[in-house]
Amino acid sequence: MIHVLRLSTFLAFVGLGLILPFVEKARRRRIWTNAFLAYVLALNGFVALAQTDAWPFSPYRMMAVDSRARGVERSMVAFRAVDERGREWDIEPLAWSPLFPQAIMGWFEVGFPRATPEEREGVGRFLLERAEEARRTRRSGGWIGNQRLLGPLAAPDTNLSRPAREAPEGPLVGLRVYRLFWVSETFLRDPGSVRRVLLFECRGR
Amino acid sequence: LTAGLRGAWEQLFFRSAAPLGPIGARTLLCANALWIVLSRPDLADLPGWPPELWARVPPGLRCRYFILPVGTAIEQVAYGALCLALVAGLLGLVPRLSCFVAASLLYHFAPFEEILTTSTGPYLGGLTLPVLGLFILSFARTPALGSEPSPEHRWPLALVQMLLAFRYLFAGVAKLTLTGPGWMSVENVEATALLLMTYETRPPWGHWLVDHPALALAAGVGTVALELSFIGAVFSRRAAWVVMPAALALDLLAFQTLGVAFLNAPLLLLLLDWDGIDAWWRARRGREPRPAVSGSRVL
Repeated sequence: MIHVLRLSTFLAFVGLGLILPFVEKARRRRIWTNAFLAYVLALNGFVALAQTDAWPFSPYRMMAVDSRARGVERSMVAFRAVDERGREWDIEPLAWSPLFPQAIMGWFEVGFPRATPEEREGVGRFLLERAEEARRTRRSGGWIGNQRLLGPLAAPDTNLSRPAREAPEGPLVGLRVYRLFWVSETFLRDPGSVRRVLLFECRGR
Repeated sequence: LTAGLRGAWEQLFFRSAAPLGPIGARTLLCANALWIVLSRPDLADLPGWPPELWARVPPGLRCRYFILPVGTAIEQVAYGALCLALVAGLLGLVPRLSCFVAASLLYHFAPFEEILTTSTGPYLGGLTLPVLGLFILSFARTPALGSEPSPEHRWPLALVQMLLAFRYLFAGVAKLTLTGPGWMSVENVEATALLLMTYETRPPWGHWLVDHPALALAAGVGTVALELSFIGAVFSRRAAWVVMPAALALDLLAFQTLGVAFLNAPLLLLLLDWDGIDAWWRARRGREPRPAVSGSRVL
């Protein structure tokens, strides 16, 4: 229901706007233009005051969180690929283009806990295949995923990702998904203080 | 008061303006959107990804963005049409239609990047302002380069500038509403930088904010001050000249210190003095400057 309501605010924006090209008389045109302007400004004001989403009208809650709590243990999902010798490797951040790692991390936070074992296996295999494809492309010197058309000029992700340090010569045969735990203050002094727990592992066919 | 507000409204949205403003806005919006869209060439393939990944996306959310079970071939055709419409808009070919088609398809494709995990809209992905701006330009009359000044050239540009300013203003309001003035404190800015210097990524200048409390305080206060005052650039040419470089610097610093990229930074050029550029261009071509174009000072 809420999505229908949000869609209707957008459709009202388009509907009001589409009236304008068909109004020729100056006075009537000014009235409709004023109505359109008032609607756009009022809707923007509403989403900002109510702090609600009506995209493409947005309250832009960028970095608005309070991070002051000290000593809090943070956690995130991280991915590692495994080669035939069992060694772990970074995965190219663009391997899962058009999605960036943050979006896949999000699925492991939201979708993974509720997915069946078969669904988890299916997703894991798909991600592994894409990671292996990216490895082969990188080894052959090509541009990966989102950089395929524009190369290094491609728009980056909103969140900075660390490029994979190197790619193995042989194929990737496994994917490991870890949950990392760390305390920011401790991490700065001792990067080795990160604790990792294996969340999921899958092997290629 | 009512007369004063009406006068300000008229001056902001309906004063006579040169045609270069909406043409410049269309060029910037199309170029920015095209850059982002060409940087996501596999976007149309996403609906073909394993259904397990789509399983938690509510049907209502899919309908909201017109993500229908039509197959990836149709999505790829739509993606191609989006690129063509943006190129046409950039070149000024059938501009109203191309802007409308581009905006409609951007509305459909923009959420793809986040829809698998979030339902709050892709407001960080860089396509929010192009969606709204291109729709607005498709509703307004299309000016011809060199045509006479008109109020019809003013309101679309002013509205798009206003929407650009909202991105900053609302971000400042959200910080003060959700966290309060403490958002600007040294403790909060330090802790935010520290949090983003995680195991997987490390913004190159993040440690500056952690190691230098004065810098952290300046970043916190400066960010909120700029975000809240950005709206002034829509009303005052002088304010625009201060705000444009300051906002660009803020966006670059956010990337270097917090690892957050704002892909709409090129759209700060929307705040250029388009009437002044038009007058300069006419003078160079040996034409009389247009006396009808008034200054951009409103308040």
